[in-house]
Amino acid sequence: MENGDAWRLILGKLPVPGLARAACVCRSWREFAADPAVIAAAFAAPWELKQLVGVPSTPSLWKASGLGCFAISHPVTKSDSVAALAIKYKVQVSEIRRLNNMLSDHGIRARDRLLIPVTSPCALRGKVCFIEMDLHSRREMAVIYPDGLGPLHDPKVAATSLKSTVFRSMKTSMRLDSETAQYYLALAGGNFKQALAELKGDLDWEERNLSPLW
Amino acid sequence: MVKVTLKSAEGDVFEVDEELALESLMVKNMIEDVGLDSAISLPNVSSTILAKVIEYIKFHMDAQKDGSKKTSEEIKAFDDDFVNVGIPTLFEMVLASNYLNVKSLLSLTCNTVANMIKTKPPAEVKEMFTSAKQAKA
Repeated sequence: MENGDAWRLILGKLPVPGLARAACVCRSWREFAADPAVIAAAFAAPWELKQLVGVPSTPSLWKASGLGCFAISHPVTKSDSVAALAIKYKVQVSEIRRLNNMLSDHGIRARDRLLIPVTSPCALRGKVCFIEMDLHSRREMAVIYPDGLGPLHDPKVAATSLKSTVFRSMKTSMRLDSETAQYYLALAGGNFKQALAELKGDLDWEERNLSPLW
Repeated sequence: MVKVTLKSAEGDVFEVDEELALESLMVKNMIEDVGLDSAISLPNVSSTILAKVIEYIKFHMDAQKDGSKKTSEEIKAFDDDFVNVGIPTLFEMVLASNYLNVKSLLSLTCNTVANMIKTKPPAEVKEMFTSAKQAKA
C-alpha cells in the first residue's frame, strides 16, 4: 500500500520516544515502527546525521537517547597522549579512559584508535555515523570519523595490521625494498611462506644464470 | 522559455516552465526518457495538490534567485502557511511529493505531520486521524 511509504517517511522524522508512542496507535503503525529503516531514521533525525551505516546487534543502542552512544574515532599516532587528546577534544581524561576501558594512560600504546566522547550535538550535524562494536571498549557505539573516511571494519583492521606485520618482517628478514616485498607478497596472495619460497626461487635462478657473466 | 505540460489525475493540464518542472526528480527523469513534446501524465496526483506543489516550487525558486528580497522569516511564514491545511490535504501532499520526488517539500510535509503526532498520546493521535478519515469519506 502506498500510504505505508508515506507513513514510514513521517514516522522516521519522529524522535525514538515518539516512535515508540506512535507504535501504540494502531497495528499498521506498529508494523511501520518496527521497520529497522524507520528506527534508524528516527535515531538519526534529532542529531541531523547525514547517514547511519550498519545495524546494531541489540536494539538497546536505539533506546540510548543522548550523546552517550556517540563517539569520535581518533587514530592513535606515536606522539599522542591521553592528556593531549583530552585537551584537543575538550573532554576529561577520565572520560576517555572510561570509554576505552583503559586502566592506565599507557594503554594508549596498545590501541590503534581511541574513542573520544562527543560533547556537543554540533559535532554530529551532517556526519556519517557507523554503528560498530569496539573491540577494546566492548560496547556498541555510533562512531563518527572526523577525517570523513569510513572505518576499516574490525576484521579488516586486523587483516591490514597482520598484513603490514608480515610485510615488515619480510622486508627486514630478506633485506628487500618495499616494492619488491610488496610484489612477492602479492604474487603469493599474502602467504608469507609462499612469498619467501617464490623469492628464494628467483634468487636461485639469478645466481645460476648470472654467475657465469661475472 | 521551454514549457512542460503536466497532466493531473483528473486530466487537467498545467503548463509550467521547464526549470520549475525539473525540481521534481520524477518529472526530470520522465523528460529525459520521453522528451518535451508529449504531456507528462501524473495519474497519482490530483489537480488541487499538483497546483499546490507547483505553487510551492515556484515560491522557493523565486526566493533562491539572486536579488530576491525575501527574508528567511518570509520563507518560513510561507512554509507555515502552506502546510496549514487539513490533515487529508497534508497527507496527500506527502504522497504527491514522494511520488514526484521533491525533496524539500517532502521533508517539510513529513516534519509537519511528525510534529503533530510527536507530543500527543496514542489515543489522541488515533482520534485525530480517524476523524480526518471520516471527514474525507
